[in-house]
Amino acid sequence: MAAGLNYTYSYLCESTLSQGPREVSLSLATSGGVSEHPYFFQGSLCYPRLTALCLKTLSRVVAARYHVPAAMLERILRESDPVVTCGGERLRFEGFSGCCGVYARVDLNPDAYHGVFVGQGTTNVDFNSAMLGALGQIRDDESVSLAVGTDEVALLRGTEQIIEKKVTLPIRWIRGMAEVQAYLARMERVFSINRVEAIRFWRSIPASPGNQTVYHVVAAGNGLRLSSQAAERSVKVSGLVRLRVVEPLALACDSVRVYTDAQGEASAWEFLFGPLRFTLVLSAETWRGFSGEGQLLEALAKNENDPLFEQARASLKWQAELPVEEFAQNWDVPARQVRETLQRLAAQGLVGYDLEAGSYFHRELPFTIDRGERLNPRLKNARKLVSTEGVEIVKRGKKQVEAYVRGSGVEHRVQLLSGQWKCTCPWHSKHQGLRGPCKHVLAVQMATAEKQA
Amino acid sequence: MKRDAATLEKIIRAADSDKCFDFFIGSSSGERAGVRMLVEEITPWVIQQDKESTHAMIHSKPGGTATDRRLTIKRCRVLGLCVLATGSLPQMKKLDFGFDPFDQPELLCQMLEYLQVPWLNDWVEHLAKNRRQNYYQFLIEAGLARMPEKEGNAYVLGFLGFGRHSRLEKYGNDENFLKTVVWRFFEVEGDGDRSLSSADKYCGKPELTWAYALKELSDQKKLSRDRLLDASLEALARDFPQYRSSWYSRFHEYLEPTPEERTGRINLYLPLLASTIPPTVSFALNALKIVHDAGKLPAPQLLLHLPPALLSKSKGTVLVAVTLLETIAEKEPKHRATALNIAIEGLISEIIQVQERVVKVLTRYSDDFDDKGRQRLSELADTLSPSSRKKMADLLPGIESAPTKTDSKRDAGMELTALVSPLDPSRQIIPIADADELIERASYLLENPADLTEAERIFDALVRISLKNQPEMIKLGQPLLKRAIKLLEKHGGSPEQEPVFLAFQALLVRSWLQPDQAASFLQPIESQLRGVEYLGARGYQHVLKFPFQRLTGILESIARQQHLPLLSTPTHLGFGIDPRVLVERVAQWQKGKVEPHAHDVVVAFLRMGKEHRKEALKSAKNLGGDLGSALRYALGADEKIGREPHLWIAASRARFCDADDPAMAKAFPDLGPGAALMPKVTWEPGKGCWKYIYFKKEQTVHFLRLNFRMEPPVPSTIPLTHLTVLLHSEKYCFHEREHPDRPTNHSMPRWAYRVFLSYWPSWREPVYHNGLLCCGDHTKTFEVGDHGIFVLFEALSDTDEKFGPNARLLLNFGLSCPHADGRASAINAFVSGINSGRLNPKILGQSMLLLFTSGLIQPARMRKSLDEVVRVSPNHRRAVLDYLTELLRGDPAQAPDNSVKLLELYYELLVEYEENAHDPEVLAYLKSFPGGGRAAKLANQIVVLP
Repeated sequence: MAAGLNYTYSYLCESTLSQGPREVSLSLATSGGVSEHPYFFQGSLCYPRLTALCLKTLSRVVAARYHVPAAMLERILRESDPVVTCGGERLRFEGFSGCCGVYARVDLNPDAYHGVFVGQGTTNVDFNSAMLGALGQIRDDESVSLAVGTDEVALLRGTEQIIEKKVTLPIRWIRGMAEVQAYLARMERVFSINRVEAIRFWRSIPASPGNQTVYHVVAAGNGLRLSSQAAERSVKVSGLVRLRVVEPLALACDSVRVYTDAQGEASAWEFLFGPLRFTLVLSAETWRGFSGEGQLLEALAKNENDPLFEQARASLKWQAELPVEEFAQNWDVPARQVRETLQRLAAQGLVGYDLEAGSYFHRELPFTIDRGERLNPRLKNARKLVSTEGVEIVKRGKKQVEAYVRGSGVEHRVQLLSGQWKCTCPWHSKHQGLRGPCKHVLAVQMATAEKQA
Repeated sequence: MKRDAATLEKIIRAADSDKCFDFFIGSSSGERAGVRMLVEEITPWVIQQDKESTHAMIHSKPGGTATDRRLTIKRCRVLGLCVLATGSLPQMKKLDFGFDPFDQPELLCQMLEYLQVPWLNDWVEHLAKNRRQNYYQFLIEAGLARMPEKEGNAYVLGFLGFGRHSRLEKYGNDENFLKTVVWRFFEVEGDGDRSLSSADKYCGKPELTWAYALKELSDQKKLSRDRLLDASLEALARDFPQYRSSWYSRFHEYLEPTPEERTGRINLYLPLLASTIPPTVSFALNALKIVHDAGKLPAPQLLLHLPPALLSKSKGTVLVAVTLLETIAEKEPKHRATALNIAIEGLISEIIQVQERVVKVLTRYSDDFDDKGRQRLSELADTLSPSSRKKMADLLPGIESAPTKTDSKRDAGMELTALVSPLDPSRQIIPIADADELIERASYLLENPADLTEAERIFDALVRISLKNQPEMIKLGQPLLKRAIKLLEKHGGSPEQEPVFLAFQALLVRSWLQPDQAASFLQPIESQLRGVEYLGARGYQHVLKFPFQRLTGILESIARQQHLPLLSTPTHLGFGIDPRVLVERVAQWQKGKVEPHAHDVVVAFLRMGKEHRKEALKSAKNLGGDLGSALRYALGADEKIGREPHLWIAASRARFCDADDPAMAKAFPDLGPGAALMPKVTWEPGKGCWKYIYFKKEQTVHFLRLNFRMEPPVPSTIPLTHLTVLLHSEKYCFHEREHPDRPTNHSMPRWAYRVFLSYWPSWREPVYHNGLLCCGDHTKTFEVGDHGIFVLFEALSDTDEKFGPNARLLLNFGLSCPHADGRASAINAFVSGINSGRLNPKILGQSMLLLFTSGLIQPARMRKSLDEVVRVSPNHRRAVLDYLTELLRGDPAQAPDNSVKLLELYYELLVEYEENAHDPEVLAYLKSFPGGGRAAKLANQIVVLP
């Protein structure tokens, strides 16, 4: 499997923020997606300063590296650009940190802009240092226009302004950006605090917290504090330094909501600015990304040629919300199955998840990868075990399975007992299912599904 | 010259760069192609020669001299020229920069001009990326290569450089620099290695700095002063990280802008008030204040941009902003309401002085509020400090002036933590039932070794459960065995390191899975654990040996296939053992006529719970030997003290816990503290001075330490089974200091503290004593090794913690810990202690009094910790008030610097509870506060509280 996807960002020109006679113009150059240089939006910002602040913070997340995995090249990660999705009357800017442990998104709802959607889709946007530097000077009383793409493609093509950046996007990065959506879908809100408490909380974050230290955010009166121990209602955060990047947002927001998943691994921090939102998602540990977490594996392990998957894909029309119940009714399947299908779409970068709406939305990451590369290594290895007869099922009942799976010089026993899957391999022993099933469990699941079919 | 391979080879071997230039300048492409193979083939030899000469010179080996080294360096340069002439970019990159061919730049330029190397620009990009600016700069100046495009920023940063040379001299006449590069300095952020801030910080003298150079060039009219002023402000608007952006604000001020220059730049200063970098906001505000004071800054403009400054973290910045607002409110009535509305945002600050200032302004103009302002004030009422809320009560008649008072421990939203007895059935641990479960749980343990409770469960099962006649289990255990062997191969080192402890666990598992070989693992045990020579009988006497010896005992039991339950296995969460179960276990061992391991017995006794002892005593009447007598003694019976000291120490402590045992003291005098007699410790903060030689110069370190006197004294020799005594001994707990007065005790590793805390769960004071020995020295930097001591702070949060004297001292240290991680644990311990009623804040405060005037405590850090505690609930605020009351005693002249921070908090809490300082000792303290500063004023304010 390739270590990364060779990708070329090709912008007709640089994104700019320029001062005109009557207004400031923010023109974002685009690359890839539905076309080579899509043109999606023309309008103006209702909250220029806040939008600029959010976009700057997003760029900081994209540039951040809280952990440098040995296998990754720093230069590659430096050159990845954010993406923007225009559709369903929403503008959404997404970014992913170089260390694959932090995801950020800026959502502009209809009241955050005036303008028209000229097209719909997802594309890369050029965020260059000059433009970002200029963003810091935008004020709320200024009139700021926004263009995502341009209608002057023909004019600009072939000029010296064309910017090309060849990068190798690590598979881990691509998968992480896709799979984080499935994480969001599982999260529940734990806390909601106002601006004052948000400011106070962020000011209480230590200047140099240990990267490995695990903190728990717990309630303290109307606000939050950091504790070294979990509580009944708490959010676990490791790599606390990752929260510091959003401190400027705390000064400007109306409120902050904090979410976590049932296992208390990842956390999401949603900053609300009226019709604008900034969402920051942190992985369980600084060195852990979102890909390979295994939460999707059971869904992905199912038949990729499932007609429901194709049906769902055909239903995607850049909606801001993908209603599960409606789809379930239309397709005559249980809601659970629709959710699983949406999870799989998320893993392929075809949908995102909106925490506030509690729903997936259509967006398609502009980089596609081959089927072989799309597969999680655990999934690939599980398939290989099945295809090379590495799985021996010795017992199978309605709620019970026992099998032996070939390992490296040993055999691992896999069991399903009382709804829990167990395996004797070190991976399962270490994570106890919290990071999804191991390849042996997956292989047994696949083998039993095959036999049932 | 004949241009063939033989000639070139001679040139390379002779390291003759002149002849090399002659060779290539004027050569044909065919001639160069003809020597390409030679260059490739000779490259490894040249590299090898270079390495060998370097090694020889460094290690002063025969044949290694500086002359040899110079030759190989020259040869490398010649090789570089050859690769430039005949090779490719990848080949050049492989040579790395030791092969820089740029020794004779003029000749090199001549050669490159002749050769027209097609990849030269890519080579320059590569050099720029790797910051070898001096390697390629002259190529650009000679017009042979273009400026790096992709690495344009790196090119600019390459100019910054380090080194103690004058930038003015180097670049003062460089046209390229003056026209282009210097302005890029204000656009390119810099990185961790190269920035204007770093370059100027480390260049040594002020006249060597970039700031000096640019100012001089401006004075010489070689650079535009106006443009420098503008560029520095534009750079600040880019919000570079604080360390890098601070150079631009300092440089701007260094240029000493005139009032007119500042006035002309209002539109550049104003947006900086919204900067995310606090010093930039402060800088801009100060600049604007100058303009405003000169009457040149229109109020509407300032009011439009000022709001973000009110949210600054810096007290000074907010106060300046409030002062400006007050001035506007005073002088420009039509803008008064707007100014007040902006000032209200200053109430968000938690700094009392800021709130006081804002309240002063607001109350002065209380009649000028508009509806928007009143509404905002209501929204922020909860954020006000009690004293501010009181002063604002007139402005907002609806807000409460004080929260509801409560003496109840229950507060809204805060459930009191119910204390559960250590042997409560809800905490019972179910033993592992069979081999199948053991294999699963042992697999878990090897991947999650920090779970000590599970580890104990597994140790017990390893000893108790047999694999005999269970071939299917042996097969099932193969993955586990493989993993255990792998861990044994991987981990090693000194016993302080956690991996060795983990490896020992893996060894136990392996022994169980390979019972036939288990006995061989004991001979000697060091051979199984890589590098652990300490465990041998070589005189290594350290308390860390105790857990290893306990594990060795477990290994012996496994090897002997005794299949008897471990005596010391906890029966309940929290490491407690039900006495009834312990009696049964001992009976089983005695029935099997097997003597349990000494360490197992010691730990078993120390873990014995206090409940069900009478019942257990009844069952123990038939137990024989010294062990049986000791157990009955521990359970409360009258028994004659026996022969084995380790047994009877453990029994005595199990019976008396933290009280003295006169009978034991009589039978075994002089065993030391923690044996028969509990230690009476007197802690005394003190100072030390340590002199040492470093690079031939004498260095002196002054430090603070926490000394102690202990009765009875610690014996000089302690058997390694006397655990409760060992923990009190510096000699057995820390490495011997090279010098007796050397300050630092490095704490024991985290795993060791966790393990020792588990051995005597009902009384952890000896372990805390050990921790305190690390707290005293160098507390300003808290040099405690790998911060093992933070484990002790965490332990204070356990609901079983009783907060003895050492625990209280430790908690007080933790509240002032410079490390956020440690402080967070201490705060948690305080909070949970109040939650459950285990912690008496007054007694905690009395304990702090010992440390408060010693210099070991930093009031500012303490204040931060207490601020976190007071936010939790009114009950916690009450607790902090009681705590602080105990600190205000003695001689206030001895109070540490910054104790005003604590006085502030004390004052606010008194206002909140509408109380005064009625304690006579406290009043006397406050009245005699020296000086006329803020602390003395606050003290006076407290005294006059109604």
